[in-house]
Amino acid sequence: MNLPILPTTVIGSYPRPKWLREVIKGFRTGRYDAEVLKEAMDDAVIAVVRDQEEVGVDIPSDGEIRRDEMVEYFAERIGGFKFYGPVRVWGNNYFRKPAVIAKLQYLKPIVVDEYLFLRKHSSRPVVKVTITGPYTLTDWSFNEYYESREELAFDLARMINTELKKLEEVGCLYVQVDEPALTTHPNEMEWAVQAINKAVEGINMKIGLHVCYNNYNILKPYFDVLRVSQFALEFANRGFRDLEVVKGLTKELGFGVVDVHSRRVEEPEEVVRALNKLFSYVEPEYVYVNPDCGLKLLPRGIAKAKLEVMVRGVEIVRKELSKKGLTEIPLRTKV
Amino acid sequence: MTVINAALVGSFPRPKGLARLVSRFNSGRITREKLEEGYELHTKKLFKLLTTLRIKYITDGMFRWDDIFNPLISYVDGVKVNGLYRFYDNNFFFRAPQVVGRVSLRSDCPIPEWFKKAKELLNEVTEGRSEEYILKPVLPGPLTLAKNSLNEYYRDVKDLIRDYTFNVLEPLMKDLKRLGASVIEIHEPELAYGRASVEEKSVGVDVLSTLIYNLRIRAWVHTYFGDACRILNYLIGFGSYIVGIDLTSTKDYNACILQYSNFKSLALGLYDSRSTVLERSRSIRWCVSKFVKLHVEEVIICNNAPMDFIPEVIAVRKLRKLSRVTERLVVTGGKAY
Repeated sequence: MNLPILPTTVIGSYPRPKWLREVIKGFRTGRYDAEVLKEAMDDAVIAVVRDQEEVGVDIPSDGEIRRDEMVEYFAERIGGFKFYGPVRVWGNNYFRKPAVIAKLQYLKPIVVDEYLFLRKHSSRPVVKVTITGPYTLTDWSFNEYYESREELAFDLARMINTELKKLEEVGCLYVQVDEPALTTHPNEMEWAVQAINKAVEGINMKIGLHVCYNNYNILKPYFDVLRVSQFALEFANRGFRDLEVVKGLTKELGFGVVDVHSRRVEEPEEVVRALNKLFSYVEPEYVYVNPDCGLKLLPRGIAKAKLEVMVRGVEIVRKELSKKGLTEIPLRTKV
Repeated sequence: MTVINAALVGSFPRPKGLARLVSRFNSGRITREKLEEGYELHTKKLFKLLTTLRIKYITDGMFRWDDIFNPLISYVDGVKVNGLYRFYDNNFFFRAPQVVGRVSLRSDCPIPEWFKKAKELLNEVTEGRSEEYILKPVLPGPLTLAKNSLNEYYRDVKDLIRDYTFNVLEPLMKDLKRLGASVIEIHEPELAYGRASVEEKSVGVDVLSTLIYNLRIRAWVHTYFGDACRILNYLIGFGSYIVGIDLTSTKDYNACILQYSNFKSLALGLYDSRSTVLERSRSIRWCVSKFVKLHVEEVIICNNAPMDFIPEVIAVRKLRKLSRVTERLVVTGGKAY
């Protein structure tokens, strides 16, 4: 299967429509039942997939609309977690950080239905499913049960592996494993990388790895060791500094070109400049283009506008690349 | 005889209700006055909790702060507030100071005024009570500020450390002292975490101890996220003040205890602000008793680091335990039984 050169995609999350937030609030206060909530969630997924496709994103996600938060969602569906309350992540943003209080148990498929629904409602040949990786689930949980964090991470890796196999069975082509915590503790990198490799063991679909707001110099020595075909990294937030780090990358790069923590909508020319700067380090045939991270914290209009800018910028660069005969790339599962 | 006290170090988790108000204020749905009412209500609630638990050294929970740098850096000339960066090895991020010119504190910095307000609230809460509570304003240390900055102006980061000390912290601390701060808590995780070079750390310690000496204030220099055994050399410079060490990150308590025998006041970070596991009181008492045997003038039992990293309910449980352990140790004269 082929994709246009510089395939545009998202990292995963997208702002929930206001009306969905009202329904969720109503569900929590007992005004709406689970059926109403499900219908609203389904409708919201259709709406945000439409948003992405309307502006021309090649590989949409379901916006992670059903997920309140990337760790919470999985912790709620794996046996052995408990929630004590919200914990601050930055500014005035919080998440319900779970605590592991018993041996973890895989209960049932977690995101397979999400994928099937997205597949049914997207017009694009490839869609993206995101899964929080074993290291981030470990690092963003309190451990009250396992002897070591390593032991906990490998138990989670086994569960994620089971989930990935189920996704593959139903025809999923592209999964992004999210590991924003990956380089947090450099002394744990060796086993963290092995835990991710364990999670993707025996999987033949395309696997990307998203790592953001990290020190990429710590990640770099593991580019070749990690059994993924793509690294989706954040660069707009850091003003496209540190691009040196991807020099010599032998895999694909998912290049973050718009800042998801700023409400300023970038100009397409900024995307063009960033891509041209990147091409000194990575060949265009190995570049996907995406926002820095999930868009969920932005107002929906701004999120959509940022995606549009991203696509318009890519279209300008594609025109230049087509002059050199570069118009398509294959969907690579191995690089 | 060693005096034993309890303390809250740094922040207390911003309560859900207050976070909701901040969010509504940020999106223009409530007025500044309504938000101020929220700050007052929740600060008073925290003071009630802390004074009920007889925790002597307290903070206002830093409810107005997003992290230890913000909003301070918004009131510093020469600094722009940049993107999000990880706060050491935590799933906690701060907006980084981007240094684009010579740094100096602006005159509209509201931090002293916030301290004054908090002090008034504490007075209201403790009115008619005999115990004395010490409200500490909290500030980032110059080394930590400099090493977490994106420095695009100073050729040598050591000059940035100096300017943060004398152009930013000095005027701020003078104001805080004028408004009645008897102890100022200065956070220097950078000293313990170990990213800064030996030279940078030495400059950081030198300039900070000079500042503290010149201002004639009682400073509390608090270090965390690193083994206390590794940083003794740097802390000696603060020996006559209160020195806070992170014992939850310290591997060998016994080695550490011997090293700290010459200090005047030690704040022992024994309650882990990054874990939901509740500490065993017996182990805490054992550890404190060892420090008491050193005959330091004051041993303070506290959390190791700001409490933003745990849920509010766990922070309250830890403070309750901390309070009970302190009271028991006071009764036994610092003995573990």
